[in-house]
Amino acid sequence: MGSQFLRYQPVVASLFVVVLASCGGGGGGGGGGGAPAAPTYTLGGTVSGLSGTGLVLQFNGGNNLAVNTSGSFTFSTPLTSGSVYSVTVLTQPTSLSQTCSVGNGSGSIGTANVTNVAVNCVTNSFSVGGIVSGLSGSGLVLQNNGSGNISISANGAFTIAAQVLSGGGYSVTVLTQPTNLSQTCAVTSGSGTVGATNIMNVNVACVTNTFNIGVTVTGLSGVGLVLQNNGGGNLGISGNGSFTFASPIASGSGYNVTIFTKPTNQACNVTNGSGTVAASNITNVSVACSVNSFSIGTVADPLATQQWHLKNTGQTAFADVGGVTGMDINVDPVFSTYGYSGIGVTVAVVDTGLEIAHEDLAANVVPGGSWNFLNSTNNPTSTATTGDHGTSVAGLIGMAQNSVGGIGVASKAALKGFNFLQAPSAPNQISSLGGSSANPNSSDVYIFNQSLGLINPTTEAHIDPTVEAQYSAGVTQLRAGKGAIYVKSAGNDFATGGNANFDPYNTIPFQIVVAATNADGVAASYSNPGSAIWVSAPGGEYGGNAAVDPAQPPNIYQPAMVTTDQSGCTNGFSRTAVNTSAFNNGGAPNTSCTYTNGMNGTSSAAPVTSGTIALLLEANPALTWRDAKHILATTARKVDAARGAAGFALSNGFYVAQPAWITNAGGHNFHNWYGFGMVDALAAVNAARSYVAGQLGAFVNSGWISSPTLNLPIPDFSITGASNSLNVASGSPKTVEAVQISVFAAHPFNGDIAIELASPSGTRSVLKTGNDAFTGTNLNGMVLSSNAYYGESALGSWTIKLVDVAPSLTGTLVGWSIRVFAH
Amino acid sequence: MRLPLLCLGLLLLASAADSQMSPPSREQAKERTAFLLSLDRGKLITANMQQYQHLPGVLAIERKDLQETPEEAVSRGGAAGAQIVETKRRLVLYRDGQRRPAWIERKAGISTYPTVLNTRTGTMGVLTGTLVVKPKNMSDAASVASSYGLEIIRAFPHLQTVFYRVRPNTDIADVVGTIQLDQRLENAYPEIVEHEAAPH
Repeated sequence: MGSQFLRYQPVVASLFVVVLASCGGGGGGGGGGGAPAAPTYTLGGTVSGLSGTGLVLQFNGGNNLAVNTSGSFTFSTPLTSGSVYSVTVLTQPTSLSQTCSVGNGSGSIGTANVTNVAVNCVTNSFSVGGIVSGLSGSGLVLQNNGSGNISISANGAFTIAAQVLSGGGYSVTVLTQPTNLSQTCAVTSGSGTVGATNIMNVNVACVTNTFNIGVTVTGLSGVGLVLQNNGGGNLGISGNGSFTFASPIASGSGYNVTIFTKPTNQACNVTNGSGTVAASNITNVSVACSVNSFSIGTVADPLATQQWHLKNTGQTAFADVGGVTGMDINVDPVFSTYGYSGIGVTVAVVDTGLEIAHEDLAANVVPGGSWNFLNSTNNPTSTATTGDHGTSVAGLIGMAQNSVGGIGVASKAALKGFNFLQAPSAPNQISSLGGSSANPNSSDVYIFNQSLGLINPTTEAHIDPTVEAQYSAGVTQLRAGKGAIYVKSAGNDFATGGNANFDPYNTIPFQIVVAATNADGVAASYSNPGSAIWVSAPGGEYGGNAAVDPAQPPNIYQPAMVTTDQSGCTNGFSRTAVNTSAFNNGGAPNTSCTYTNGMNGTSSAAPVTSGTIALLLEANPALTWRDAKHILATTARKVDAARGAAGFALSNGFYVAQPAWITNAGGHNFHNWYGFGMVDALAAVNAARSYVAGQLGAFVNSGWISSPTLNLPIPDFSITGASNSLNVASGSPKTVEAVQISVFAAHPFNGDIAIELASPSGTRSVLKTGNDAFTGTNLNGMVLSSNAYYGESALGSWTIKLVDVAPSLTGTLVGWSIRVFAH
Repeated sequence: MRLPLLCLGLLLLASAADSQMSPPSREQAKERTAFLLSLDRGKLITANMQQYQHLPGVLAIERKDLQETPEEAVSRGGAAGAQIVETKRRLVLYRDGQRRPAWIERKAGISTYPTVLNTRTGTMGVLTGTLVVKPKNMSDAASVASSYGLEIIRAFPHLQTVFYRVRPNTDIADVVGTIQLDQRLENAYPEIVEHEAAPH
């Protein structure tokens, strides 16, 4: 209803004007009939400056006149002469908001129209302001429409001094953001058009800025560096370069970059690590890492300089004669360049025992991590009085850097001892090789050192399939699927016709079988040959002194290994009752009989290799077990390169039973005495550092491929032999990693039989030489292996040949099988 | 440690200086073959794809430690003067003229073990009384033990294998022959020590 009334109101007003007009008006208008009407006059004037709308003038409290534009106006109601008038503004203009004032607005009507009422309108102006919140910094300056700067120092209401005319636009912006603290203030409701009131709803919200904390890392070669900022926000660093903490820091807050976890074998220093964040990212924090390097010449361990296997200078190692300079595992440059020492790598000594409190081992022994199978405790310290093999093995791996004794190849590796050899059984063997997570816990071991094996087997031996399954499980499940590394000694039966292949545990591809070299860099006098050997490493000779133990063969007086021994002079390999060397007899500097200079054997070569592998795993923890094998094989040093072939003169020719070095079709050097060569730690570590783990691909095997029953006569005492071929088909894995054969033969004296295998590429490997230690009758599926084909194509025809190398007794090749492990 | 310097035997290698020497004596082998033929044979046992026969006249005893001589060990076992047949590191095989079942005999805390012969290779072995069993279902481990009066030594679920111990005075050959027919099992075989691991 109200709105309807308003809508019709102008019409009513118009009618009213019409009615008034009909009643007379106009200047001096004459009358009609009757008494002449008094003359009337109009009242008007001029409106100036009007911009808004809604101006209503009135006079004498009525007679409203709406005025829309500047210019002349005239009230419609005439006045008679003498009438008093007073013109006022009933309604000021709005939109624009104006204030109109009346000049000459009052008086009395004379005898003429009044036209000089002056209505002057002026547009109103209004202030612009609002609220500031969140302000912590200083220096905030706002402005409106690009001027009228106002500095804001605190939260709350603000008003910009310069007002804005009604109808004019306003635009509040931030001219200067706060600094100290650095903030960003954002304006909302900051612009619009001024109406008829002050603007008070501009909202300026300030937020403190955050900035990144960046770090530049240099010199990093180890792994495991973790940085923290303000005690949290762990930032793992994988290499040199620039890194940024994930959580930025607010301006005005402090930052403090520290090293939470050191990289392996390195020390790192932080510079510009702390301060207060101002108004920009922090980019000048630097972390400089350097290697905790050392060398044989600088360590304080007094026996280190006699450890020729680490750095061969021709020293005697307390024996009578020295070796050949340089015939070592080339590990000193690893120490001095990278400082690797096996940090983070756990090595198990699967052996006779481990003296866990030994002065040179205790620092590296995992507390509670060892196991004694004889009494079910964590202390496998041997009670033997004549020496503990495991304790000496352990020293070669991990004698500590501690100013006593010598140092291990991996002097900071963690050690566990499992005295399996004191209670040898399949369950204990499995428990020692990673198959047990409690009593003992062997499941966290990276490297299993097995300086053990069958002693001079003269008859065919077979692996326990359950133990073999544990090896397979170990390489697939341990080390988070990267596989544990199994290192095993090749055996010491050279003089009695031994062969690494005669121990069936050497023939599985999961092992790294190690032969021994002496300080001259050639095969040690006892070291088993065999195609199952992967690499060789120093094992030494006997370390004797003629003054103590006279009239022995020369190799007795060549250096053996200097390592730990049972403590004390009443037991151990060094004790007062021993007369092999002055050192072992408690002579200086071994007056406490805590070390020995007589350790030798492939038992020594294996732990030297295990220690080297610990360095590889420190350099590149991502390496799989096969990666480690591959690196060892491809970086090994060809020693004794001039060694010629050897064999037997048979009835119709010369049979090469011990080939010279070969280079196979995969480009790898191989010799049955040395495998791929002597371990070269520096070359291996360098390879490991840049090696992309897992690049060998899936490890698969062809399955056993078997011949039918052959019953092929083996020509007696003839190089002709009995041959047969089996084909590895194209669907099989392609690149050889290891080859096993299983042989059935009928022969009254197995020592007569030599067994060789030729690959599709023509590489010939002798797996059993004949005239060897074997004395039994018949081969009943004997498994032998060869690494000589590493890297060759697996596909095609493999040819076995059995040769009878001695006259009179004869036999037959009954049948055979082949299994190729490859990728 | 210091390895024995063994005398160098008959030279058969053409390049002797570079090669292994000391091949075994054929005469010794012949003697051994003849010896083996002279031994009484007992029950057949299959293990790890090999065929064995129990040697009722040959026993084995474990040395206390490696300082104990084989003779001392045999004597400690109450068979002083018995013929020592072979030594496998800790295990001493001997015969005292008596025939015994294929069981472990325990007297005064000393155990003697039955022995076997690998019929194809001529290798003698010692039955330790341990059975290696792969059940189709590991949950059957206890019931298998109960069925044959066995004691569980240790189970390795990740290998699906249980090691059992045969009680003394229980014929191991008989237990093996029976358990290998058990439908609950994938396979079972006795632990036979033909060669014992040693430090080297």
